[in-house]
Amino acid sequence: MRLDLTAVLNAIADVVFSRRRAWLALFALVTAGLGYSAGGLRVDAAFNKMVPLEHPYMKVFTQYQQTFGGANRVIVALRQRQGDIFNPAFFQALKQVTDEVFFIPGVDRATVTSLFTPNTRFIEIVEEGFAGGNVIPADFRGTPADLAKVRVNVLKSGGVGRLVANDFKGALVRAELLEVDPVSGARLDYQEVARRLETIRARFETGDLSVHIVGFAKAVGDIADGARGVIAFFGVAFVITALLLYWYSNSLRVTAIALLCALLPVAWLLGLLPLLGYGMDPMSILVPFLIFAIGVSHAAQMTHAWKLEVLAGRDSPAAARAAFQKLIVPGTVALLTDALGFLVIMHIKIEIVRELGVTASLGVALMIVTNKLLLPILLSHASVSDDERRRAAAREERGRNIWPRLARLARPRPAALVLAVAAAALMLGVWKAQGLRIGDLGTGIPELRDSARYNRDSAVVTDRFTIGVDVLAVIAQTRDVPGACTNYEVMDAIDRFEWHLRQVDGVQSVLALTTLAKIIHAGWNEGSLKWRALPRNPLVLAQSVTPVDTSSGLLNTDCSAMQVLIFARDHRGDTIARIVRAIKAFAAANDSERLQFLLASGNVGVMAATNEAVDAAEETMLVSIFGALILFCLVTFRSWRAAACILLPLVLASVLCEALMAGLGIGLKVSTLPVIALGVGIGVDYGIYLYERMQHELEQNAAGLTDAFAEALRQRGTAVLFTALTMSVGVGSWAFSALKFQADMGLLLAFMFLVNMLGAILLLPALAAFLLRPGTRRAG
Amino acid sequence: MGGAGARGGACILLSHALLAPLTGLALLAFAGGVGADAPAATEKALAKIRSLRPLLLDVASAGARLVAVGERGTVLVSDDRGQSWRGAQTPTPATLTAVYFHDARHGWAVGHDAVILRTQDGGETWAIVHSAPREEKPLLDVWFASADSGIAVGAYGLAYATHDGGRSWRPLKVLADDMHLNALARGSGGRLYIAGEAGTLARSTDGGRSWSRLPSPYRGSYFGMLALPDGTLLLHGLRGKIHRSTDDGRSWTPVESGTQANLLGGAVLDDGAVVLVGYDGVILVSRDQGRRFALSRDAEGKALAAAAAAGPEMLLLFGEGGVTRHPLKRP
Repeated sequence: MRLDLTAVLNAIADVVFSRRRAWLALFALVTAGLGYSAGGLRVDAAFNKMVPLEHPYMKVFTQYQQTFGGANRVIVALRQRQGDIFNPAFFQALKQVTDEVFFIPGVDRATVTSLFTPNTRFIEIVEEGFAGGNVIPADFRGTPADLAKVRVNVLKSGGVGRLVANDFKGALVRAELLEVDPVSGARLDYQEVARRLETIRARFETGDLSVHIVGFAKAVGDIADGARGVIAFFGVAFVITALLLYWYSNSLRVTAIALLCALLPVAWLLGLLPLLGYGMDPMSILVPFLIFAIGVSHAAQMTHAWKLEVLAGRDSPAAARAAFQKLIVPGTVALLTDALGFLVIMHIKIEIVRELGVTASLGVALMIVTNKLLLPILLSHASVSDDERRRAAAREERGRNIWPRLARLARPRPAALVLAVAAAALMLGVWKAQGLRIGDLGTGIPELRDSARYNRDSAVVTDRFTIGVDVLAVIAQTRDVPGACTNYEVMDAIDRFEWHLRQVDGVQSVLALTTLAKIIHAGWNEGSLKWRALPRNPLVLAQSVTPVDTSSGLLNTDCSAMQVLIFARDHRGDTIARIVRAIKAFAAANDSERLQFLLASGNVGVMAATNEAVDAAEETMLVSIFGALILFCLVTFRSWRAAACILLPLVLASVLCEALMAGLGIGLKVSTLPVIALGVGIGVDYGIYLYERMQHELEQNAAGLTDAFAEALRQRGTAVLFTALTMSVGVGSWAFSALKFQADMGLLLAFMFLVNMLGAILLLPALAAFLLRPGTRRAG
Repeated sequence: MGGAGARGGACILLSHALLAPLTGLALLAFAGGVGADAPAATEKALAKIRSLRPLLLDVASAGARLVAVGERGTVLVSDDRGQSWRGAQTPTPATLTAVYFHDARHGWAVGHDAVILRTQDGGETWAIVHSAPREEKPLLDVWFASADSGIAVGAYGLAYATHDGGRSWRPLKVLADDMHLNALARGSGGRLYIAGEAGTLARSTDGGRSWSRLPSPYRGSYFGMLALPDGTLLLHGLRGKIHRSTDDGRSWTPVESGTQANLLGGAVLDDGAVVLVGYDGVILVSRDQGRRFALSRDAEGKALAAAAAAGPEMLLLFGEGGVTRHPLKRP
């Protein structure tokens, strides 16, 4: 078997190295073509991509999106810096902002609501019955008398807290966005919406007025802006990597070759994405860097192997061929394992995670070509001066003293100590990881820093208005109840639901058809608050419900669905979970054949679904990725002991990563979900490279465990150590990013690089010392 | 990987509390088992009342205690003049519209579904003594002459009387028409008054057995009537209307309120000040037996249904926003 493999490798090497120029020409051609295609790569953000569309909540969401509108709302709040809003300048600005919002492409114009829109009316009780009108009368001129009238009308309209700030120092314009243009079918351009909103701010923010804008579209725009800075950070990481690579290789040429081979898969990937119909999502902006990081790791292995061959006295082409033959198997296995690992996360039914799976596994697969074919071919052309050879030899000599010392960890006694420390770390990790929370932990959006304009705006809107920006909508759906809106049983259940939800901690207010029906019923009784209850008589109930139009978003045309809007204080993961639990408890006790309370819509409804999907996905993802890794290790090394030696350090690293997330207050959500999968994907390389060489030494050269591991470290450990340190420094620099999300990722990935490295060079031999005892070694 | 068990917070207790079949009990679920030795839990219950902000419609004094009633059977009691409130147990989900205490222990509350509740322990526990959901008429006010005899009035001319402390109730005919009877008041000389819809005004001089219509100065509705210690009567109602009588209701003079907001409720404070409250957070205060009123507004602008004194310079306001406090300016 082994002999066959060697023959096969030889044959492959012949094919590769006999036509080096042809290969190089082919690569150049591919690079040119994909480079051209990469020019067409577009930034592609979409609300629906962040959402688990197959989650039951999202089925309800999709079903009623047409009827009640979705969760994609933008709010532009104007705030008077001094005094209250009742001055002509404020109202003029508010009117203009309302118009501006109305004309933003993608805004569902029927949903635009402010004091100036015709859907904002007031009702008052007079001796003769009702009187009503627009809050801002048609003949409004901004005179003191007009303003006084508007002030009274605002109170009568119930718009305080909804359209006007509770302290009368601000007013807002809100609108829903349409993800797909109903006429042209074109997808919504979020960047454009964000840009238009920002021009509104630029125009109206003055010494007297401040403008606060919130909504998914604005958030995406701000994240995309921040993501531009990401490119600068990639630049920093690239330069650091280049410098360290030069220091490591002592050769400009080798450094350039290694960098080229690490960058090529990124370039190819960016070129392939438009061809496959994908864009680059601001949330996935880290993937190219990860591909680069994995590329550097493998390039470091290959150049190191090549250098060792050169030091052993071969010329460049022979050394390249030898390095190729040595690394093609472990390298390809490691890359295929990565690719498989990234592929399995695709069964998580959130589009953006799937995209991440596709891009990451594609990038890693491309690396097999660039790293295992192109790199040795380029190295075979690299000449080595005697001076370089001497210096490299001297450096290797220094390493020679370190590695055997480290390898002593493979002896039983030190191994026991290492295992004890690891076990303690594991227990600590498991304990701390209990604190890991699903969803957002702050009040703003965690992708941006707390001090970011968006998060400050969000705080202003939440503080000053009752409705806030976080809405969870529940659909009360009736079946075979004609005229459900006038059925006391149904309406009373909704009323009880409203009352039930208002008592839940984290609920700011609740708005349902019954809320308005009670107010109108009191209105029919001259506005006496004592009548603010639902009438039992169907005719009287009808009288109280009919004034509520379907445009309120609280009922559909035949009353078979009524929407209850629950305004949450924030969208922290535990707030959402608590509200959802209360809803489920009520539904469980009250749902019947005729009436059901269905979760969920509104932005918090979407978050609830996403949090639940992420919670479920986390386990599936880890099980899948580790399952794939186990399978691959078993197939490659044909030993469960090997799989254990390679994977147990990764398990420890994953647990510690979760503990770190809990400690740093980083919630588990769609954007942070893949970090462990990616970290594991990078970490498994180290283990596979080291173990492959160790196994080779044990089996081919019949070395003792300590010697075998020392040799593995000498040949492969340098590259592992180098890669881990280089990448940690590179991603560590992200801590200074404007995007909090990126700063968090940088920290977590740096941690994963280091801990995986330590696991591979410290824990792996210690595990081997116990699992690969003489006599059991071959039986495994 | 670790952690699934603990995620999502530990508020199971809360959701259990919310499962209480009688929604009015939900407040109690926290407050009920809580003594003075559990300040944290008390604080939590208070925070809950503050955040829930139930619609409150009336308030009464039971000795030193304040008892407020409202939305969905809510009864809140305070033993420190409104500093803190806790929920009391009520056996109905019907909205309570009025409450009356004869003394520190005996009290009655009325509300929708023509429900009448009785307490004998100062408002801690309540029992249903009357309920008629099929009538589709709410009761709107209740008043007792003694611990035994009382009257409840409500919508469409509905009225009941009791002579056994509220254990049993008999229908009472007040006037020939079926206008809403909104409020009961007792003036000087034991005279009883009822004010109601479309200027309805009735008086009884025999403790409520027979009633006669009084001429009304206004065709709109009255929401309440205050009888001042000196015998002055004040009617308040729709669109900021106030009428004042010093001759037991024979003649009325309009009083300028300065607002068009509905005036829903009022109170006579210990120092003789008269307070009327209503829509848009309107607060009217008179220190001259209702001849002139000073207008101010609660900051939130929510509709107010009732008021009580929290101390010499502090008002408690009850309405859409639950209980709020409002400083009372000295003249």
